[in-house]
Amino acid sequence: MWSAIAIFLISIRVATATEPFVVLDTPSSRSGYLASLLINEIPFPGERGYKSVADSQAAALAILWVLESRISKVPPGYTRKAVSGVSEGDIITVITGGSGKRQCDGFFLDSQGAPAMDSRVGERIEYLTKIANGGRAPGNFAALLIFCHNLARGYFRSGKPGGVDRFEYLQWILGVAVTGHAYSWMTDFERYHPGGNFMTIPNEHDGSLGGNRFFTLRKEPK
Amino acid sequence: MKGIRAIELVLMLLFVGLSGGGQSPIVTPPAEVRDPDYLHEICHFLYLWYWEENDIAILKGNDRLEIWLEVREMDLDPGDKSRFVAITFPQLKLEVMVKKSDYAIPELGVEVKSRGFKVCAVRALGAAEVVAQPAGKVVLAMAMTEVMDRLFAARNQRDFPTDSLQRKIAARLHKSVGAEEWLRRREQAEGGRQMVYLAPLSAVANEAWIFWETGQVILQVSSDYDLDGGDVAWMEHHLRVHAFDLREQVVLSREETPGSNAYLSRNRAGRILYNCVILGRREYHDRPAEVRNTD
Repeated sequence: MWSAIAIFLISIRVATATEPFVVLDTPSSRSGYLASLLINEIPFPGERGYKSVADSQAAALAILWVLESRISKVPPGYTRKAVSGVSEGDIITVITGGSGKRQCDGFFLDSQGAPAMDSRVGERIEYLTKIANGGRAPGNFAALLIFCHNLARGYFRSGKPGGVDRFEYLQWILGVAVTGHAYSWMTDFERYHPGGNFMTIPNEHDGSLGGNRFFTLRKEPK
Repeated sequence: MKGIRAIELVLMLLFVGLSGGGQSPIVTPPAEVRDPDYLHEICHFLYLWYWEENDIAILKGNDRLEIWLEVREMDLDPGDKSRFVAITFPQLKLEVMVKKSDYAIPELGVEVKSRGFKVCAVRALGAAEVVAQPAGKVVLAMAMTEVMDRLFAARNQRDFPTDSLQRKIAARLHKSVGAEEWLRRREQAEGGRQMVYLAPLSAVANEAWIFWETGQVILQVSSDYDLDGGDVAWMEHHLRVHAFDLREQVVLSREETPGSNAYLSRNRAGRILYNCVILGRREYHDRPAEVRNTD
């Protein structure tokens, strides 16, 4: 009987060790790099800004839509450079920025011009993945990591975010005409907007997601 | 003595009324958020990290500091009993969201349980959001002279974490900057000595600001746990870190980098540096995980 129990326990351990719940694409791949950004920008349980799995997942999707909108939803009266900081390139370029100007905290072009990220980003993702794979069943950590992973893979497979842009139809904010879509996000601890023609999306329009504040653009640029 | 002081403060806190406009039921905010001492701590936090000269000018032009409180219902994970309250300063068009965490993390076998409501978001409000009759909010007011007197008296107040927590911060700092980068900049420093400043901690926010002078880096460490709540709060995972390289990530105005979230304005960076260097505590680190000497 004891040997049977021992074999059972060992089999569980082996199963856990050989079949992790979460396996992310390497950050050196395009989907892995995008997933790293999405994971980096949302709070996990225990981190400030965390509300729920659904809230963090909504934030990841909204961030992906910001990146996509900077590429394919440039509103009339604006240039792509004005809304994304870069004139051309794909979503990876939108993440890293260009001409020495970063767009996303922790993500940049290295001295060779290749997409890179701060070591703290990789360390955090590694730790979150370890937690996600540490239990007997996938939990909230796994749900969030897998969501970002699938979102990134799906984007490169289909060429668009796999979900609805909740800010697409925004027309007015506090009496000011806006373009719809979101074009920027910042941690929800800033008193000021991120410059330019950005307009804070207030709470009544779900402008705060995953510890981040989202911003759209004035319809009529100043 | 402390009891008498508390009574005085309660008397100064004028309960103006419930303003529901007969449209929506009002949930009374918890007593601990209505506590004058707590609200003064929130003001002190804002004074240190957010308010500017113009704000003080606006406040000085009023007899009372008006505060709106609103319990916010959130869609949380099953079993999560955390509570949220929005604290609005209509005269300054500023909203502070506070959270009292109360949930479990099964993967880690721990509970995140705050002792009090902690700041989890700060945002500027549009003029149209600060209407005269705020529906669903409890309206309070504090005597402005008392508020300003207390802020003035506390402007140099300095509270720091325990030594053990500081060592944890140092260890986390090392990890977050990255060993290679740390070593490179460490070699540049005379004798390899690293100088670090730790800003005072607020009782109403689970965040710590650190200025690594030798590396010219500002770090913000935050958590949903109480930072002074015991060992579990200092597990590696819960110390989320944002780092800003002062050589690369400071601009005079965000208008230079519109839409980017990778930069601090010089004004913001200056405030952080003031709080770290002038109000904070200086430490020398020989090896990142160890504190050799504390001033």
